[in-house]
Amino acid sequence: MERWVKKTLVATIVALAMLIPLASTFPDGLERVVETLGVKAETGVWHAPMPDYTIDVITNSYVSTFTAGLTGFLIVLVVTWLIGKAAWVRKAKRGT
Amino acid sequence: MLNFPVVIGTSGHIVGGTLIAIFLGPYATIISQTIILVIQAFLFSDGGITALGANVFNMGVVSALSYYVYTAIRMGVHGKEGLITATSIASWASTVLGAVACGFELGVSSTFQPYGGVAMTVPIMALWHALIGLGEAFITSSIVTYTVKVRPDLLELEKLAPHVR
Repeated sequence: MERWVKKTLVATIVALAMLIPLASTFPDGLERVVETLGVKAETGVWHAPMPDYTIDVITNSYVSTFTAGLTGFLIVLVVTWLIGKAAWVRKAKRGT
Repeated sequence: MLNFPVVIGTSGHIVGGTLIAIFLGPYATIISQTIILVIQAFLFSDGGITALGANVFNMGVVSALSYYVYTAIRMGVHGKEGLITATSIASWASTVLGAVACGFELGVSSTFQPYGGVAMTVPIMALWHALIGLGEAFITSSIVTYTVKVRPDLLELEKLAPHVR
């Protein structure tokens, strides 16, 4: 693995670990509008495995959110890499 | 996930579309944002599956278009000032325009019809996000200026855009 990739990975994970306790729990802009207007939220159609960036079985809220965030980051990384790779292979085959 | 407070009682979160667009161009932005939004909806119940199309438009397509705001400003204002100005205005605009699009979608939906519809949802979404957009602009321009300082080559990557062949 190239050095800058390692450094970027470490920096991202450190930033995640440091920013989690600082994250605001206030409602965001959209949630604020929904609250202001008094709109009742519909019940969801999907039960996510890690709702609101938490993991059920981990009781410590910091560890729970950190693990969820790290999982999300790694999945985004892998999926993006795979799609990039697939696009690259296609482009190479076309010879353009 | 990592919300920043804007005023007491309200927070904002970065969209990040302009940040991606500046380095990779508008096409790659839509793909990247879609990947993120799909994973957020299915894994974390953030955004939601029935709202996925709307979210891809508001935070993917709209923020991808902010690339053209960025390039237009950079053509007029050169150097480091141009970079910071273009990044800040483009990322602020993408937040506000995305929120306006979202406000419109909410306003025409049956759920929000009894609460005043578009006449209510568009202005309040725009007002809150004009504030939240300042956070987006600050974070985006900070990351871009720092990256340009340490890895200026990253700004010169091939951009995937309609006019590029």
